[in-house]
Amino acid sequence: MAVCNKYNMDIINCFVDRELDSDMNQEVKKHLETCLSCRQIAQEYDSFGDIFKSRINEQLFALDFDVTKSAIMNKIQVSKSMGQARRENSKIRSLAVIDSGLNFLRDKVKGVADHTKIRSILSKIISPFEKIYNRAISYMSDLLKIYPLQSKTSWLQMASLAGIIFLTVVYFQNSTFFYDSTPTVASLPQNSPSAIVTSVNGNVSSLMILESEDNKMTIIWYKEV
Amino acid sequence: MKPDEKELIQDLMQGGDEAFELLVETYQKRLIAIACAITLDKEESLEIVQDVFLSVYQNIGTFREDSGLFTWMRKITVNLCLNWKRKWIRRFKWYHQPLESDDSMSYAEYDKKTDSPESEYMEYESEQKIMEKIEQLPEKIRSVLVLKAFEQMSYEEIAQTLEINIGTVKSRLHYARKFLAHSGA
Repeated sequence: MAVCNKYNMDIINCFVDRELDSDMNQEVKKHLETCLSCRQIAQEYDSFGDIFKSRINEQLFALDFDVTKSAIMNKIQVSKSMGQARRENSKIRSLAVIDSGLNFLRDKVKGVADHTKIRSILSKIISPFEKIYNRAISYMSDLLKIYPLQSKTSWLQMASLAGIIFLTVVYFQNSTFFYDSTPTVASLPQNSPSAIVTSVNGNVSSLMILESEDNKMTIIWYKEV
Repeated sequence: MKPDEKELIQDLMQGGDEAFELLVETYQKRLIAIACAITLDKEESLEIVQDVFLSVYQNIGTFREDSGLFTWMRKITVNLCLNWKRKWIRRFKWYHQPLESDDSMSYAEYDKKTDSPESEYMEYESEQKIMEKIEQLPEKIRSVLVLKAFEQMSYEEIAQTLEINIGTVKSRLHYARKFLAHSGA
């Protein structure tokens, strides 16, 4: 079904949506009283929203809103508890950090006469760590005497040197420079050939391929077992 | 903003549980209806509304009182509905199961006064076809229809809620009606 020529669908839609100004609204309303096609379309369009709303309300008819309210409040309570737990945890962590800092300060502050007992306990706990710490500091000091690291350039030079040494070691580990690639020469009696190139020993016979020392002649030696 | 709403907001900002309960009691039905109409899934709509109230609880401190409290909550609801990603199996369930069974009607239907059983049945069938067509509308178009039909909002209000132009609101609404009018009802 289509609207008549007087008004287009846009006007009918806006009328249904109550978006026309009052004069236009009155005009269209008057027209609908006499025009069957426009009236039927407007009524049909108006009904869609009502049908939709009524069907959804039917779906929710059996819903217990006290139960839904409880579910909502429970979710909020859970969120509240989790938030409180997170705040408590961060508080505990903060207290632990402050506590360790205070302990450090107590140890460092001298002349606190009425805390000598605490100081002696803390010093017993801290002394092994202090020894390691002091030793590390002394090693560093000795190193700095040999090579004063006063600037960024010094650090870079040190790092480059370390890198070069490392790469050199890796290279020569894989290199054949220090290795003699030639096969080892077995020491043989004077009358025997200079080298045994290969030998095979089986259950029935043995075979040996030899090379003479002077002329480098190949000798095949065969023996039945 | 109404004076009692201002007081309610103040109580909410102070974290009052009673204020929150009152808020839920006042607005949950409307929000569930909007969510259910957009998502067409009752279970999801209940979860979405729970998230809406949780969001309100967590962000009440940032609420700007230039718009009403319900306007704000409605906007959150619509946004959550439109961003809700349905699992394919739920979509399959929705498109392959009717809202009501073919043989029985819901409780509310029995209270309706009609002329005859035949006309009652015809009307029911016609409404059923329209609902089936509504289910086929894309969510972004259906949401405009929902805000118009359920909340009687103006084009401008719908545009502000959905953050679209007024022209887009009109065109989506008109498209929805044209689509439904061809349902053969």
